[in-house]
Amino acid sequence: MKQENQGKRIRKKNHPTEKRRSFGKNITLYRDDYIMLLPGLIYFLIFAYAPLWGLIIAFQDYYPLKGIFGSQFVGLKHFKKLFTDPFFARVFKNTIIISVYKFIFGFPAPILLALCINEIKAMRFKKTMQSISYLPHFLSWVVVSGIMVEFLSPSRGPINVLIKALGMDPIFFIADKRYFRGMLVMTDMWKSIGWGSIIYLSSIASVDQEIYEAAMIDGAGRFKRIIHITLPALVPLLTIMLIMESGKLLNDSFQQVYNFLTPTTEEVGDVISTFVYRKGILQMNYSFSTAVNLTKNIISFVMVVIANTIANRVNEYALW
Amino acid sequence: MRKFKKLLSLSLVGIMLLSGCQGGDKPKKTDESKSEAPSESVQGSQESNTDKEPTGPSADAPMMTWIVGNTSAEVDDDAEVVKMIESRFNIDLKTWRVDDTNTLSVRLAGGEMPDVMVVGNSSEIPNLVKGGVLHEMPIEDLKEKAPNYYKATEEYGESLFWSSMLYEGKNYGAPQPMQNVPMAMFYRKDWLDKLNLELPTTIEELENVLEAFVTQDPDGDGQNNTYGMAERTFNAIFGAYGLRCVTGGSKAFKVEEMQLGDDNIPFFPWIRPEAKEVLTLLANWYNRGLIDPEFVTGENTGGYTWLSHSFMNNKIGLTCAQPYHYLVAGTDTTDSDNYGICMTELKGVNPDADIAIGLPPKGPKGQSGTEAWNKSGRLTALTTQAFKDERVVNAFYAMLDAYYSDMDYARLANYGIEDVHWKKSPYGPVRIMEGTQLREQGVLQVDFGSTVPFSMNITPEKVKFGEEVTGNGYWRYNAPAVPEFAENIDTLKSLTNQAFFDIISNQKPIDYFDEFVEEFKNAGGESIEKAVQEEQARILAELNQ
Repeated sequence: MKQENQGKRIRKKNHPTEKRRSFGKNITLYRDDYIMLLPGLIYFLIFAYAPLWGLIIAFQDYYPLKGIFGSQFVGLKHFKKLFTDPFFARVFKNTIIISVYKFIFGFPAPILLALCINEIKAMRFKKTMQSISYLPHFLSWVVVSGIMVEFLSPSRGPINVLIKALGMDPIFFIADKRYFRGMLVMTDMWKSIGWGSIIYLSSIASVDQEIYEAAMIDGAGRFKRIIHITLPALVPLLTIMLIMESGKLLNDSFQQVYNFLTPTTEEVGDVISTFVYRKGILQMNYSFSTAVNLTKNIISFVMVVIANTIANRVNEYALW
Repeated sequence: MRKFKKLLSLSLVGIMLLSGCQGGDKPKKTDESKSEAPSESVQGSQESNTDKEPTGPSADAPMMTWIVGNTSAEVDDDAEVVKMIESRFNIDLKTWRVDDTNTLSVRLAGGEMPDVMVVGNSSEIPNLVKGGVLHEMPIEDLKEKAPNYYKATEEYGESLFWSSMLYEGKNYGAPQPMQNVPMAMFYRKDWLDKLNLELPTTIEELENVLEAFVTQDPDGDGQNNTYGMAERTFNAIFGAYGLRCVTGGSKAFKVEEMQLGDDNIPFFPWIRPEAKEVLTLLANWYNRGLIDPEFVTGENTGGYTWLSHSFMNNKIGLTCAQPYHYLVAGTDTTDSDNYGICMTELKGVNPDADIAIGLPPKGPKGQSGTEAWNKSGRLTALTTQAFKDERVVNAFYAMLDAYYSDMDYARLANYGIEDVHWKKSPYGPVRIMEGTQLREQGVLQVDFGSTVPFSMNITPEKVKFGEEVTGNGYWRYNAPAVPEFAENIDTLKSLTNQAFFDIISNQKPIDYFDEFVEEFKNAGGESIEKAVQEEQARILAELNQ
């Protein structure tokens, strides 16, 4: 539509230097497009850019009732406190380790599921599998953690009943430092795998069927078709998803970790968001927690830029 | 006579309640308006004498928002109890639903404030004052505007009574002289009987009982699936060594609660050498299977906090709770009128289960005791918002005073309406509605708990029983607010709970304790202890003047 529109105007006005139009003219020219852009723009202005103003409180001793203007500026006090906090290094390390685990195991999982689901030929079975696989997405972590505590309980849980039946000692997955991170990764995968596969499925569906037919005539088997047709078709999407994931490496899942965390697993499971929650919400140190989150977001931003640069070098599908 | 009462009550209660269709059940509820009038200064009490229609406050009544610590239900604004309280004090009462302190924190961060709030811990006071939330409540004002309350505090308050809400020399709340009893230790009597065991009185005897619970199959299902105890009994073991290390109803230790020594010098019990002895013992018990390994995720798996699912479901044979959680006012476990909420639940799940209450076990030096709550009650405070309208402040003082001067009102606020929310029994008043429902109907919202006058007048049976079945109590001490505390207590909480849980569950050796003590001191523990001790000494000197 855009191109069509553009073409029309060019013909009408017979203007050769189309590119150098002023901003104002541009708006009148593409009015419809800008109107369509508006709601999204407003959304980001209100919910993403306007709150940036609040970052000021990271440099203040902020009290809600005094507001930003009434609170005192303290410079980098909270950042200094953060970097000297006895738990900071641990919290940072845990966040990265858990995120990397989730990335390594959690990122390919929905792709594999999407490939599997795509290969199912019986339509009804395919739809049923898809629905079942994304049902856990709609459960909140409070519920999931409740289910999991029972499910993994060393005395009542079915997993441990099985382990005991095999003659081994029961494992207290929730409270054991060795299993805690693995448990987080597994539950996260269980919960998000189906939902995550939707985007890949839709991308796979858009692949031209004739390519598959041609490959079949050339004698390519199922596996070959996946390797040589489906996966290459997913590369642009994969690149974008990877870049976006790299920005999420420091974005731990607060609800998940918070609901599973116990004093025995804090050492391996305490992450930035649970730390911020305890400091900021429970102790009402709003400025301190803002400082933590600002630090975290700066690092995340740098990571996205790095990932994007790498993507630019490797293939042409980078974000910008 | 009955008819007359009914008519009277109906005329007082008004049209609204007629539609409540249980009019006959509510004959006593308006007694409060006829009782001896409290002192003249109490605003609102006269109104209730003239106002024959407790259908709510007058149109220009100021709004008063009130929150109690952890409210388990949204209060029905049209509930009878709410209307009665509203018309008595001529306020438009609104209660905030705050299911835990975090929700409150978030709302405060958003700039919202209630008029009356309960501060969870005195360490929060500095931030709340600096943040402009709490308003000073001068003791002189309390003396003048709530004279009956003040009289009770003079009569029953302890030496440190006023220190709990003091910050930088100003008073920020109304502490209450409480009639509390410590936690009781509940054993599974059917288990003890089956194994021919007596209630233990010392740590050694307790150890033997727990050992038997584990090895001799007390529930008779032929499987080795029972344990002795879990986290709620830890407090009694620490108590046997003279320490107040408690978990309350939560899954972790309440590190923020310091202990007050006999010499009135506060300290952190967590880093005392005796704590190492207890941890050694508990680690040993854990290793031998006397402690349920699932203590980490807690005895309670949801629902009412004081329920112990492990105890109900034949997993452990010993737990701790307030006496009234299980039995109202006597050791009779056959009469369901005497059942507290936990006992009702226990019998529901496990009809053959029976309980016996034991005294806290004595340690090597003869010390003993269980966790006990605050002797100065909930830390009820007024906010700066309340002080924007003097009528709200005065209404609060009136409500406070009425709770001490008018026992019918106190009963209404705490127990509700007779035969609707509670009934008479040989054990004293017995609640006939479940906690959440009670709160929905406005009961237990604006009360001040089991204060001394309330307990003596309304629940003497409960108090007598509670004192009979409990031993020494380690009372909660409200450390005076110092800035260092709020800054670092969170780190100390994490450090302590990790160390204690790891040592008890054999994940770290007992020698790790010494390392932990160093970390604790360096992470602010030492400076907090010192600051609190100095502040406490200063306050004591000031109060003695």
